[in-house]
Amino acid sequence: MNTISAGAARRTGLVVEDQPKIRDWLCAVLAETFADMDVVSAHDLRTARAWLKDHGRACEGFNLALVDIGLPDGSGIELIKELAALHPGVVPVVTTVYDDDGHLFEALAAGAQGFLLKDEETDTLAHSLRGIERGEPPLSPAIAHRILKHFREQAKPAKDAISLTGRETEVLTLLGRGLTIREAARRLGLAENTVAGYVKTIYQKLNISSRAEAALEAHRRGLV
Amino acid sequence: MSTWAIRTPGTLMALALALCLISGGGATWAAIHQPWIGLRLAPDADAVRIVEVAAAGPSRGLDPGGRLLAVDDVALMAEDAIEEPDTFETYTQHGRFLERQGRLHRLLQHGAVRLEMRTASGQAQAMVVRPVPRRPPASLPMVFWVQIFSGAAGLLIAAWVWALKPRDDAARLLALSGLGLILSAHAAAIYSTRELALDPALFNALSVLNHVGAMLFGAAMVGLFLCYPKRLVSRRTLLGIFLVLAAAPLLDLAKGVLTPVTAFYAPIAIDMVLILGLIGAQWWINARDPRAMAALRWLGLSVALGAGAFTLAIAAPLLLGFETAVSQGYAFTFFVLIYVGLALGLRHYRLFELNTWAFRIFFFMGAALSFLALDAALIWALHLGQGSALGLALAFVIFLYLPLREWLWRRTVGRREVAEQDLVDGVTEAALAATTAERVEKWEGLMRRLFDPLEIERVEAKLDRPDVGLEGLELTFPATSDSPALRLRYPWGGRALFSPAHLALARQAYTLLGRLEVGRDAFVHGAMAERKRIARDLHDDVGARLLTGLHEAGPETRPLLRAVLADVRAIVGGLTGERRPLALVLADLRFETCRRLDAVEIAIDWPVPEIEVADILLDYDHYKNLSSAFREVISNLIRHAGATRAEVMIHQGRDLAIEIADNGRGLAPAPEGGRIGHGLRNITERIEAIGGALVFPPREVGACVRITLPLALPPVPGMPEIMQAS
Repeated sequence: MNTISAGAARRTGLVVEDQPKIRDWLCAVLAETFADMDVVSAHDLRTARAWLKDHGRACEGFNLALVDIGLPDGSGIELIKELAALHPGVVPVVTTVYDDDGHLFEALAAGAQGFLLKDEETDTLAHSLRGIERGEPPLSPAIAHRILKHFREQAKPAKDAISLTGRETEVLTLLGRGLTIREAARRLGLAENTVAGYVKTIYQKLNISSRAEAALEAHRRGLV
Repeated sequence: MSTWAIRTPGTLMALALALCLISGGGATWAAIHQPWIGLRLAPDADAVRIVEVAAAGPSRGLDPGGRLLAVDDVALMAEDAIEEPDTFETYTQHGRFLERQGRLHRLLQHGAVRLEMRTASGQAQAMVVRPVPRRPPASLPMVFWVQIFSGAAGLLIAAWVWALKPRDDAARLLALSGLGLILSAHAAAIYSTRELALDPALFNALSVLNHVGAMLFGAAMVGLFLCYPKRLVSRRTLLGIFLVLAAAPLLDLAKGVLTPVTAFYAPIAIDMVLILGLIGAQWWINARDPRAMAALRWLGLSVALGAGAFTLAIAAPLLLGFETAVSQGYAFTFFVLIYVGLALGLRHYRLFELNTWAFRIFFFMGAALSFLALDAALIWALHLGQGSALGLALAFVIFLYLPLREWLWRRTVGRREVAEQDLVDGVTEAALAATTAERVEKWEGLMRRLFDPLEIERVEAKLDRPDVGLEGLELTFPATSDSPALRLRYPWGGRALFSPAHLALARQAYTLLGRLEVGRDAFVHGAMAERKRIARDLHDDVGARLLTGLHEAGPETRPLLRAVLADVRAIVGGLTGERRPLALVLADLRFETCRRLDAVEIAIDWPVPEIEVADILLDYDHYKNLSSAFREVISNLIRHAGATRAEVMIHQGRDLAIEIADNGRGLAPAPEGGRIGHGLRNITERIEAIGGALVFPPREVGACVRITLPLALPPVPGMPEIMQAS
C-alpha cells in the first residue's frame, strides 16, 4: 500500500479491487488523469476499512474511491454505504464489468455517485473520470431506465418521500433513449452543466430514497 | 280467494293437520261404533269364510277356517263380506247387497243372534252370540290404519307444498287432490274394514264420499299436469276440464246404462290415460328447459309408477274380470308415493341429483312391477301353480333383468368412466402447453369436451373448488394460474343438468390441474435457478478472467476481448431469459457508440426520434446478434475507416433498417474478401441467421453499411409472442 506524505493538501484516490492487473490499471489511469492525486489501493474490504479508519478524515478536496462490487471478503456495496455515511469527503464510484449488472443499481442506490466499466478503453475511462470530477457522473440508458422504474414503483408517497421533479424525469427519459448529456441539454434548452447537475441530484435522490425504503421495510418487518 | 286473510305456511299446515285429525278421528269413531261379534270375515268362492276369531270376543269358541252360512234367518253370500261394492257387475246386485246389509245390520243391533256355520272339516255348527255395541280399536285390521294414514300423509304433503306457494295454480291443484285422497281413503277405510254389515244409509254416504274423493283426486291431477311445469291451456279451460272430470260421480246416477264397475273404474282409467298423455306433452314441450325437465322427472316418475301400479294392481284385473291381487286398502300407499315425488318436484328438491335417483327408483320399480307381471302371466297364461310361478319369475329376474339393469346404468348414468381418460389427457395438455394463451384455450376446450355447455363465461368468483349452482344448471370453476374463473351453463346442449358425478369429475379435473401446475412451476423454477447459476458463474468467473486478460493484452487483441466480454454479457442475459425492448437496445448502442467515438474524436450524427416508438421486445438471439453486429461495424469504423465523422440512421417500419456511414476511406470495390475481413463476414452470417441482411450500399465518399432485420418475426416456441410494430 502506498502512503501519503503527511500534511500535503493533495487529493486521494482509493482503488478497492481484488484482481491485481485491473487494480494496477485503475491506479495508473487515476494517476494519469489526476496529476495531483495520491493513489492508494486495497485488495479487500478489511484493508480498505483499515485505511479509511486511519486516513479517512484527513482527506480534503475532491477524493475518489473506485470500489469493485465483488470482493473476496464481502460486497463492495457495504463499503459504499460506509463511505456515503461516514466519509462524505470521498466520492464513491462503483466499478463493474457490465452496466446492466443487477448489483450496479444496488450500488448506485447505496450511494455510489457514478459507475465505471472496467472493460472500456483507457481513454474512455479517463473521460468519464474527468466528468465525475466536474460533477457530471455518467448515466447509461439501462441505468436511467432502472432509476425511472424505481421511482415509478415507489410505494405511495408519504409526506416527506423523495420523488423526481418533472425536469429530472425528462432528463432521465432522454438519457434513457441514448442521448448524451450535451444532446439532452440542447433538446431541453438548458446548459450542459445544468443537466449534469441534474444527474448528480438524481443519484443522490436515489440514494436517499432507497435508504428510506430500506428503513421502512425494516420497520415494517419489526426489525427496528 | 285473494280475500283470505290466513296466509302463513304455518297456519295452513296447522289447518291441514287439524283436518287430518278430525277426519281420521271421525273415521275411527264411525268404524268403532258398530256392533261387533268378534270375527274377521272374508269372501271366499261362494261363501263367507271365518278368517279369525277374537280370543276375547263374543264369538270365542268358534273355530276359525270355517264358513259362516247364516245369521239368524239371513243366508249369507260371499259378496256380503266384499271389500268394495263398486266391483258389482250390475246395479241390481248392488241394490240387493245393500238391502241385505240393512237386514244384517238391524239383526246385529238388536241383540243376540244365532250363527250357523260349517267348520273346516265339514261339520255343521251353531252358536248364539251376543254382539257388543262397540268394536275394540284393536280389532280394526291393519289395512284400516294404512288407509287412514295414507290419506292423512297425502293431504299433509300436498298441504305442505301448497302452504309454501299458496297462489300457485299447480300447488292449489295438488292441495285439492290431497283433499280428494283423504276423503276417498277415509271413507273406504270405514266400509272396507267393516266386520260384516253397515247401515246402508251410512254405506251409501261413504260410497259417495269415496267416489267424490277419487274423482276429485283424478281431476285435480289432470289439472295439475295441464299447468305444470308449463301451462298448456288458459285458466278458464283448466277450470272447465277440472269440473267436467270432477263431476264423474254423477255417472252413478246413470244406473240403467252402466255397471258399477264401469261407472267408477272407467273414469279412473280415463284420468290415468289423460295424465300419462299430459306428462308426455309436457315432456315434449319442455325439452329445452333442463330444470323443468328435471322437476318433471320426479313428478312424472312417481305419478306414473304410483298410479300405474295402482291401476295394474286394482283396476286392470277388475276390468278384465279377475279378482284384484291386493286389497284395495293397501293400494292407497301407492298414492302416497306419488305425493312424495310430486312434493320433491315442486320444491325443486335436489334436481341435480335427480338422474341418479330417477334411474334407481325407476329400475327398482320396474323390476318389482315386471316381476309381478311375469308372475301373473305365468299363472294365467301357463296355468302354473303359484309356488312354481313365483320361483320361475324370481329366477328370470335374477338372471336376466339384473344384468340388464347394470348395463343400462353404465350406459346412461355412468358416463364418467369414458370421460376419465379424456380427463387426464386433457388436463395434462392444458397444464403443460407452451404459452399462457394456449393453456387458457386448452382448458376451455377441455370444458367443452367434458360437459358440452351452451355457455362458457369468464367471471370473477372466489371459490376454492368447483361448485354447482342453480340446481344443477351451472357449474363454476375457480381461477387457475393462467385462466380466470369460468362459469359453464346448460350442459349437454341444454338437455341435462350437472349431477353429483359431474361435479366430482370437475373437482377431479381441477385438483389434477393444480398439481400439474405446481409441478410445472417447480420445474420452470428449477430450470431458471439452474440457468441463473450458470449465468452467474459465467458472469463472475469468466468475466473476471477476461477482464484480466484484457489488461494484459496488446492493442490488437483488446478489441477481440472486449467483444468477447460483450458476448458473455449477452449470453448471460439470454440465459436468464431476458427480453429487451428494441428501444432500450438502440439506446444502449447509441450511448456506447457515442462514448467510443467521442473518445477517439470522431463526430457522430445519430438522430433520435422525438417520441417513443412502439414497444417491440427482442428475444435473446436477435438482441445479441444485432448488438454484436453493430459493435463490430463501429469497431471497424474506428480502426480502419480513417474518418472524422459518422452517421447513423435508423428506420423502423415493417423491417428495422440501420445504416452506418462514414466519411473515410471507404470500402474496397470488391466487398468479398480483402478489406472486409473476418469480422464483417462473421457478422453478416449472424445477421442472416436471424433472418436479416447486411449490405453495403455504394457511396461517393466513405463507406456505408446497412443492416436490415424484419420485425414481423415468428414467435420462438416456448416464449411469448413478440408484439408487432404498427
